[in-house]
Amino acid sequence: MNLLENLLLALEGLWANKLRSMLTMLGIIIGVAAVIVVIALGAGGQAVILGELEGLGSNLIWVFPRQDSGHGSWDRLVTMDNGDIQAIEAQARYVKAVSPQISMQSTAKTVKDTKDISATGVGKDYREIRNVNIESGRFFSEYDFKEGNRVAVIGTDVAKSLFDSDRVVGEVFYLNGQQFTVVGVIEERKQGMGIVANDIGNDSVLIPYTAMQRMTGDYGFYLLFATAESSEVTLDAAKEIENILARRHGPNRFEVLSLEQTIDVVEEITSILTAVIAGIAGIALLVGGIGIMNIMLVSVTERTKEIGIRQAIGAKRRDLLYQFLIEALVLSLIGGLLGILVGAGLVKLLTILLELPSLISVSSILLALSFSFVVGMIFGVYPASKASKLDPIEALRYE
Amino acid sequence: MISLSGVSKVYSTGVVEVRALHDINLSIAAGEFVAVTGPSGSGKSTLMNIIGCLDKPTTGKYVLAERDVSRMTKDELALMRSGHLGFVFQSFNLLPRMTALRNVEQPLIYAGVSRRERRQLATMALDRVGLAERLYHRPNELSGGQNQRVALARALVNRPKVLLADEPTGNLDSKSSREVMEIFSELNREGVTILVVTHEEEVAAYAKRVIRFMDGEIVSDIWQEVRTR
Ligand SMILES: Nc1ncnc2c1ncn2[C@@H]1O[C@H](COP(=O)(O)OP(=O)(O)OP(=O)(O)O)[C@@H](O)[C@H]1O
Ligand SMILES: [Mg+2]
Repeated sequence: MNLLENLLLALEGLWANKLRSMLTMLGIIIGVAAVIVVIALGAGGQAVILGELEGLGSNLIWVFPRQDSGHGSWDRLVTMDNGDIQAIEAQARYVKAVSPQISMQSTAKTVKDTKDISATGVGKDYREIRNVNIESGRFFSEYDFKEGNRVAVIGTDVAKSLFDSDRVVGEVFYLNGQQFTVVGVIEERKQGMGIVANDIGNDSVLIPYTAMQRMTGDYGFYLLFATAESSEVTLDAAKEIENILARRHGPNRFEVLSLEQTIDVVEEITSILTAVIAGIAGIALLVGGIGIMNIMLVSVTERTKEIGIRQAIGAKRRDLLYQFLIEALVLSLIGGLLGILVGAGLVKLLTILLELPSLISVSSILLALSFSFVVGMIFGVYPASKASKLDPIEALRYE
Repeated sequence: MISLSGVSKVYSTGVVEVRALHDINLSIAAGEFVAVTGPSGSGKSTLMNIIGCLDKPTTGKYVLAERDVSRMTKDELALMRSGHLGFVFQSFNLLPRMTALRNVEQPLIYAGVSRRERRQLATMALDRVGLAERLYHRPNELSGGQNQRVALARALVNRPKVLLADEPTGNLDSKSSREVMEIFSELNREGVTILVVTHEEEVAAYAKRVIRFMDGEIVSDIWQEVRTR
């Protein structure tokens, strides 16, 4: 029957009981707002984590010794060596670049200051693998690696604390007593949320791994980074590295992980979390729906007389069913819309407070609206059908 | 127009059975003006409810406008009410939140009349009962007599063949009663069949035929001279 007339009736009815309508809608409002907030923050948080992961280097693969390979303690782990690098460079088709990373706690000393730092020995492709941008000066040359030159590329924080001047390229400092020359400065990185620990930053001191090995006399290393030719072949590249290392050191001695896998895991975890919290929000919606049913039942009883009058002037069962169903739907949809507004407001506030990127998606709004529609439908049908089945004479006699 | 044969209505409340109507045979032709009188509890309202398709007889047959109502479904009854019948109640039974105009429009919604035409017909009906100036007043802004005239406009807006009024003047003073009854007379002159339940002599005097009830049975059925105004 007449949809417009029913909408008008519903709105008038709800307006006549403003406070009651508002309280009834509260459940839906909270439920929908929660859905909007959770989905938006979930998407925002995921974007932050993925962004930071991507910042580690694209198509990244990393390799480290397995601790469960039956060798027991840490110092008995199998290490990788320069031969492994050469083997991977020569044999792996899907690997674009490979580099060791050796860390060493050390003291950096200048006339100005003495500082405890972690020096990192890296290979010639390290810059490409880990997205290291040089702000001034240069990265290491082939020659530096071949000779094991004592040169360093340092982060901006280190540069500031060790030297007075802005131009630090060409300056010298002492690393564990050995003199090093600064050849480059790493571009300043702005701090992210720090959810993903990125070991390259403003406090890094990079030196050629050959120089590191010469200093320590230790030629094994525990960490190796590589880049695949493209994101599609990342898993193939990881497999190749695993096979090469297995041939050289025996099977299952090393863990080979790729960023792709990690990203999949992160996406899985965040979507599970989002689903769980959205489920809780769904329960709020359910409670809201029960509130709507309750108030609609009250409304049907209160308006028994009206129902009788309408029956007397020709309303069929369907007419009354629609009238009350539309009223329930209007109630839940207005609740849904208010919930979206409240949710969007909350998201806005939280993103400002938490400095998160927020993603209120159209799909989450549609989801919320269709959810409230379904809730109104499910919980409106029973009261409406009750209204439509009243006996006209008894309804008319009701006071 | 209206034909009841052997109509009985029995209400059973637990162990007690109340015979509200007992074997009623009654036929009313199109264009009649009938007053129904009788003591309280004699079954007048029960009869009106059955004739008005709001209720069904326990036994017997009721034919309205050549259609057997006793076998109809609820929705078919609703269609009969919408297409053939108009109701006026003692307590007006207007929808309190709506203006007079929208109250009168309501039956037209269920009859499937378009919005624009609804407005037109409702305005004409209100004009007809002398309330052209009160279209946008709500029931609580109108007097009892005016409210009953709004109810009358609502009853006649669908151009019903039969108007049913259960003590329409019960809540009105004598002046308002006369105004309302004059409208009934006028409608009757235009061919509308009218049934009025009443206790009042003056009201019954408008009818051409007076049926008297007692304990669920018709005890007299008299044609009378219509009082001249
Ligand atoms: N729903 C019902 N359940 C049981 N008994 C009923 C019901 N409706 C009416 N009755 C009984 O049927 C009888 C006739 O009732 P009805 O309302 O038709 O009387 P009436 O003539 O209209 O009386 P009044 O002049 O007081 O309005 C009464 O005895 C009444 O108690
Ligand atoms: Mg009565």
